[in-house]
Amino acid sequence: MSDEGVGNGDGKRRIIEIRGLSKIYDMGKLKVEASLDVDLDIEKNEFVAIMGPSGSGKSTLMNLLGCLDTPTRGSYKLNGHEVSHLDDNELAAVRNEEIGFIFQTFNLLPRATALHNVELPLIYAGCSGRERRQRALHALEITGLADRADHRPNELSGGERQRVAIARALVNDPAILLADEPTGNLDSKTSYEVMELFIRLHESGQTVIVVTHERDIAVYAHRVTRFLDGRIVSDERQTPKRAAAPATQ
Amino acid sequence: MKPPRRAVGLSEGVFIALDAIWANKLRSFLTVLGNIVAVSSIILVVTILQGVNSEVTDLLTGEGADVYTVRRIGVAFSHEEVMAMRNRPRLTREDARFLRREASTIAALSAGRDDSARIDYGNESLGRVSVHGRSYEWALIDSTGLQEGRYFSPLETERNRPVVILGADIAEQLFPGLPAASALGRRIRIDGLHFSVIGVSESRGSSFGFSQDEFVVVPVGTFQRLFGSRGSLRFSVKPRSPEMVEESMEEARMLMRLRHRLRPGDDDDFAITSSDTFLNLYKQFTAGIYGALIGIVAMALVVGGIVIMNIMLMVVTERTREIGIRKAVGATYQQVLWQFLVEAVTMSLLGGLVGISLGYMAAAGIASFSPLPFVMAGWSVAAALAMVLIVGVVFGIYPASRAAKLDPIAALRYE
Ligand SMILES: Nc1ncnc2c1ncn2[C@@H]1O[C@H](COP(=O)(O)OP(=O)(O)OP(=O)(O)O)[C@@H](O)[C@H]1O
Ligand SMILES: [Mg+2]
Repeated sequence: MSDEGVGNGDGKRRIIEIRGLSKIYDMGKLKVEASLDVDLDIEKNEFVAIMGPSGSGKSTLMNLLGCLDTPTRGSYKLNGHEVSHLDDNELAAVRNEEIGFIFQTFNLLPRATALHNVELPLIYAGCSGRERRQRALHALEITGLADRADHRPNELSGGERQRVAIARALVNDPAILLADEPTGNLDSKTSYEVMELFIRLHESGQTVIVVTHERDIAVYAHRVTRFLDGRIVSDERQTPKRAAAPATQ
Repeated sequence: MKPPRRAVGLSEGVFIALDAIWANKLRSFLTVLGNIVAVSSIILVVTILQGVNSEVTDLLTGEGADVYTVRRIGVAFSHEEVMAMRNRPRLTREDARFLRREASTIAALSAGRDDSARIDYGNESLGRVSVHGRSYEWALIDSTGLQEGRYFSPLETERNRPVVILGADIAEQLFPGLPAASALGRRIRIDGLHFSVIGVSESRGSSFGFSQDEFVVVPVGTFQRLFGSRGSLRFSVKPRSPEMVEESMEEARMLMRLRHRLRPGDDDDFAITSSDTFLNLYKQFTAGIYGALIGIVAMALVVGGIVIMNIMLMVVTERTREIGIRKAVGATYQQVLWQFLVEAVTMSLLGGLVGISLGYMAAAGIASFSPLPFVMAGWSVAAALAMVLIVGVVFGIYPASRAAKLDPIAALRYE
C-alpha cells in the first residue's frame, strides 16, 4: 500500500465522483445556495486541501461527502455506488463503514475514555468486545496515543484530543478521511503535528480531504480546490511540501 | 451489498445507561420516585396481606374445611340485624339430638360452647383459660388430634362426667417438665371443681402470635353445670362427605326450621355458616384492599411514568451532541432508539429494585413488631418488576424515538 508520489495517475481507482451536486437551504423567503452544481472527482490516495473564504460552502460539501447530509440535487458516487438517494439508515451504514470524519471541535464523548471513543464506530458495526479493543488500540498506536487510552477528553490536550478523533476516524478502515478544519482549534505547533499525522496517513495509502483556511496547512496537500459562493473556482495539483521536522513519534 | 449490522449489545446499552444514571444520581432518584412508591407499596401491602392470609386460613380451617356450624347468631352487617337476632331462641342439646337423629347427610355433630375459667393443680394456678364444652362426636370432628389419652366416651358425655382433655400448653404449664402422658389420670380443678385428665391435645402452634394450645375441653353437659345452661349452643357438623357440605347445610336448615316451627315466609331464626362463609368474607375484605392497592399503584406508576418521560426528553436534549456524535460515526435509528429505551427501562427497573428493597424492609420491620409472620410473595416481586419494565418501555419509547430521529448535523451543531 505504499504507492507514494501519487498525483493524477490514470489507472487510479476513483473513490469520489460528484456531478452537479447542490445543497440549497430553504429558509422560507430566502434560499441559501450553500453548494451549487459542484463537479468533483477524487481518486484513491489523493491528498486534497479545500480552501475558500468563510461561508463559501466548504463545510456543506464536506457534510455531503461524509454522508452526514443529503444533497438537494445532483449525483454522488462513493466507491462506485450512488449514495445521494439513500435513506437515513443506509447513510448511517455508509458513514460507519466508508467514512472517517474529523471535526474542528473534535466531537469526542466527554465521559468516555479515549479508547471507548475510538471503539464507538466498531460498536455500531457490531464488532465483538475483544476485536473492538484490539482495533481501537491499534488505531491509537497509529496516532501515537496508545499510552493515553484510559484518559478522558478533559485529561488530554487539544492536539491529543484531535489525535483521538483521528484514531476514531481510522478505526473502521474507511475509504476516505474527511477533516473539516482539523487544526482550527489548535495552536500552530500542534497544528503542525496533526498535519504531520495526515501526511503519514496519506503516505500509508489513505485518501485524505482537508478543509482549511490556512495556506501553511494547504501546502502539504497534492491538490488544492478553492471554493467561492458554493462553487469550485480553481482546482490545482501541486508539489506538496515535504514534512521536514520529526516532531512527534 | 453488505451484511446486516447487529444491534448494539444489551450489556453495552445497560453500561451506557448505568453510567448516565450514575452521573446524575439525585435526578435519577427523583425521576423514579413514582416507581419506588408504587413498588414498595405493592411489596408492603402484599406481604402484610399474605401474612394475615396464612393466619386466617389456619384459624378458619382448624376444624377442617368441610365442617359447618349451626349457631344462633350469624354474621351481621348492621346494628338492626344484630338487634333482630337477639330475640332468637337459643340452641339446645335437644335441638342437637333432633338434628343428628333426623338428618341423613350428617356424619358427626358436636354441640358446644366456650367460656373461660381458672384452673388449678397443686400450687399451679392458671387464670382465665378457655374452656370448651363439646359432645361425644367431637372426637370425629376435631382435626387437631390427641397426643396422649382418649376422647370422651358416650357415657361420659351422657352422664356429664368431670373429665377433661388439656390443650398442649395447659398440660405443659400445669405439669412443667413432665411428659404429656404423665398428665393422664391426674385431678385438676376448674373453678374449684375436680376433673380427671383423660387426654392431651396435639399442639396447634400459634396464630397472630397467640398460642392455640391454651384451652381445656370438657363434656358439654359438664360445661353447662360449670357455666349454666342459659347460653345458646353451637353445633359443629361434619357431613358424610366433603362434597355434601352444601346439601347437608340445606338439610340442616330445613330441619331447624321444622324444629322451630317456622312458617314458609319466615326468616331463619338461626344461622348456618361454613368455614367458607368466613373465608369468603375475608376474601371480600382483602379484595377491597387489593382494589385500593391497584388504584394507588396504577396512579403512582402513571405519574412516575410521565416524570420518566419528561426527564428522558430533557436527557435527550441535554445529550443532543452525544447523539450527533453517535449518529455521525454510524449509529442507526434503531441503535439510538435502543440505547435510550434501555436507559429508560434500566432507570425504571432500578427504581423498582429500590422500591422492592424498601417495601421488603418495611414489611420485615412490621413483621418484627407485630405477631404477623413474614411471608414474602415471589409473585409480588415478579409483578412489580414486570410493571416497572412496562412503564420504562411505554414512557421511554417516545423520548427514545425523538433521540433516534435527530439529524446528525443539527445534533452536532447543538450548543
Ligand atoms: N443549516 C443551515 N441553514 C441555513 N443556511 C446554512 C446552513 N448551514 C450552512 N448554511 C449557509 O450555507 C453557506 C455555506 O456554509 P458553510 O458552513 O458550508 O461555509 P464554510 O465554507 O464551511 O464556512 P466556514 O469557513 O466559516 O466554516 C453559508 O452561507 C451558511 O450561512
Ligand atoms: Mg466550515
